[in-house]
Amino acid sequence: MKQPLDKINRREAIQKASKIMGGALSTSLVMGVLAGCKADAVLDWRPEALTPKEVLIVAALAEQILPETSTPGARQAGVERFIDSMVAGYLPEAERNAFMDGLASLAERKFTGKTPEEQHVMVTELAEEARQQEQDADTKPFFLLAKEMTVLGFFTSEVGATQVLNYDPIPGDFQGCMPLDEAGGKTWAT
Amino acid sequence: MNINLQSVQQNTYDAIVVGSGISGGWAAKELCEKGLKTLVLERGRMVRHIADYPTMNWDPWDLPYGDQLTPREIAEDYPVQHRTAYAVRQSTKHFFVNDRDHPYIQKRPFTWMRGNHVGGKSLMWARWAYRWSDYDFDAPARDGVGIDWPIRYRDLAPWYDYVESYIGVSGERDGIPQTPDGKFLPPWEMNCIEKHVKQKIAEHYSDRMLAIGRSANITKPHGGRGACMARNLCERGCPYGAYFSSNVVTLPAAEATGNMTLRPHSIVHTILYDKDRKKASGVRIVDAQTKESMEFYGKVIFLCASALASTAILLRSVKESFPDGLGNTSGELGHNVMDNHFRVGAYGQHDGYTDLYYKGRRPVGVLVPRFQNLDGKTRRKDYLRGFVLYGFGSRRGYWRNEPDAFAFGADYKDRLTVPGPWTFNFLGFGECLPNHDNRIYLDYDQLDPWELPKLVMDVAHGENEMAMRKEMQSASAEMLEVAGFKNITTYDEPSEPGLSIHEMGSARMGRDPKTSVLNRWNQMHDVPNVFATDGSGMCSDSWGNPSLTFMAMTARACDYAIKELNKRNL
Repeated sequence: MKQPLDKINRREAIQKASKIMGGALSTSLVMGVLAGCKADAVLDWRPEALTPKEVLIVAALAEQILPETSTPGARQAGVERFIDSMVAGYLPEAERNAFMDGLASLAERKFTGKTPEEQHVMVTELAEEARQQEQDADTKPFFLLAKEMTVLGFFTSEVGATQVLNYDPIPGDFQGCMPLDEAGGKTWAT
Repeated sequence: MNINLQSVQQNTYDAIVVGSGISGGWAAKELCEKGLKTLVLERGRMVRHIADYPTMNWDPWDLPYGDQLTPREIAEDYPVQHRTAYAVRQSTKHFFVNDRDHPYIQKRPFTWMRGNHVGGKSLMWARWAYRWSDYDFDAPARDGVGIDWPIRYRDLAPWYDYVESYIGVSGERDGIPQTPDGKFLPPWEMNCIEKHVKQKIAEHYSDRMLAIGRSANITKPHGGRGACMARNLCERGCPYGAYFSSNVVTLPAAEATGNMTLRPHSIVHTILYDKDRKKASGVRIVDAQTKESMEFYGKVIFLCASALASTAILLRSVKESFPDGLGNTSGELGHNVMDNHFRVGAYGQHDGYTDLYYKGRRPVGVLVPRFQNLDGKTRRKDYLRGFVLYGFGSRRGYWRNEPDAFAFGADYKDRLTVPGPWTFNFLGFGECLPNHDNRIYLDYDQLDPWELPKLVMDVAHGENEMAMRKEMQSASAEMLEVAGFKNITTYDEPSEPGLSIHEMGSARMGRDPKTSVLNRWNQMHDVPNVFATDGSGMCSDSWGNPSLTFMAMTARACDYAIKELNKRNL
């Protein structure tokens, strides 16, 4: 289990970054910068289950599933790191094998070397395969495994919860019925 | 000789309380505040308020695996505790027993949820705080199932007042006799869809209402504790102390008197019995860490270990005078185990109010209190007693309610960020009839890690419980239909005893020592200085959550025990 210390360190890092930048930037902007840095330098963290090359495939695949739009996408949220932890500690053996096979197949087909448009076509094919496969398969198809982990990791990530959804850690009170616009117009993250 | 005397003296208290959960905390507070030197024995580890709530301020991204237990943890550590599906998570797992270390035998399926630590299940309880009524206390006398309760609502009413005022219960004065009004802090607000359902039910039915839940979450500062911040992360422990737990409310009060000695890691082995005085003289414990055996002595013993654990202690305390367990001349010890049945109801979706939403996370839901078998007009032919329908209205994000498993990409992502349609779910909780055949007993051929005989659960829900589940579904679906919901789905999932975590009975109260274990004061007929004030003494069940009643009964029994001690009757 992740220690609370991690969190303190991360917060401290953000505070320090804030100071270095003269405190002129909003916290969310600083966090975005930090998240961006993380995505650019994938190997600044040590994967538990995946090779660096596999991490790049996962990051590109996750970005296809939940891409950057007017709000940040999976890459900025560091979803590949969440998926690495799921592969290492969560997935049962059969699902881990199915997921790793899927990654190997994407590696063979040089997924990370393709343009985003080509990648989109390849993921569309994966989704279609999964739709065909789902009824008779004992194990979840690769696409569904990847998608479920991406969605869960994204919306529970700091970027996903605070910048894409609306996160209110300490509401202070409960207001049962108010205009959606006044409540921020987006789904609550929790 | 001298050393022995000294050690006896050192280990002698006025009172011994077994367990530190909802009942044990109350016993500790009441006894200590009346000046009794009190030893509180807790079989699990220490949990201090705030200091031992490691996850209380964690954000979603601090929790591994999206807060889910891993399949391996479920299989190896929590195969039983996980059965509720909602309770044990990465954020709460440290408050549930590891099933490997805490075995018992399921002769028939029984989910025994336990939190073995200081505070017990008061840390993780659902906080619904309901007064039982004479519909409950009169029930066995009226329909002949079980034995007559030796008390009525009027006996408990002042004690409900007392505990509600002390712990802080938010709620509305609904004015219905099924659950009498109490001393409430301001109620929570209903959300848009709940207000809608409430209104439609009021328009369409004269026999029922939708009410806001009464909960032990304080809606304004109370007793030196901070108001609830609507985070709805209660089960992790609350940094504001905004819901009732022993750790926040009763144990600090007991400690403040200077009269409490709290001893964690203390598993009560047996109650020591003095056959000349015909009283208990103390308890033998096993230290859970060292496995060392020790004895403690007291004038009065309060069993508050939880219904089945308290009964297990009595069953283990076999003496010449009591070959079938301490105080078991009636033969009823271990019998009449009950637990609410649930996991049945209906849910649906509403197309309206799409421009409305809510802010904050209310820590309690709404409910339709029992409306069956209250009088001649509401008499049901196919079952006795009744059920409550708890309700939860919400507007969950699409991302938690996958709209299309195979979709992905930019449009899909943006769709996931807006709230989904309003939904409403009715979840029924039904009363369980007492039945002599539903029992627990000990298996001396199978020992637990402390070499104590394993507890065997031989309990099942019966025909009456099953019969009311039909109406629990149809009534739920009908109300949703009346309120204009679509895609209404009824459900009826298996719900074995124990799963609702309202286990009770097994050492029932009663007037007649031949048919009951405890008297009207939760005092053992056979051993007058032993009291059991957790769920073990309940003669029958109710639709309502039992914890508030355990608190009221405990405070009442302590008051009685102190008066008896002062009269030198104990």
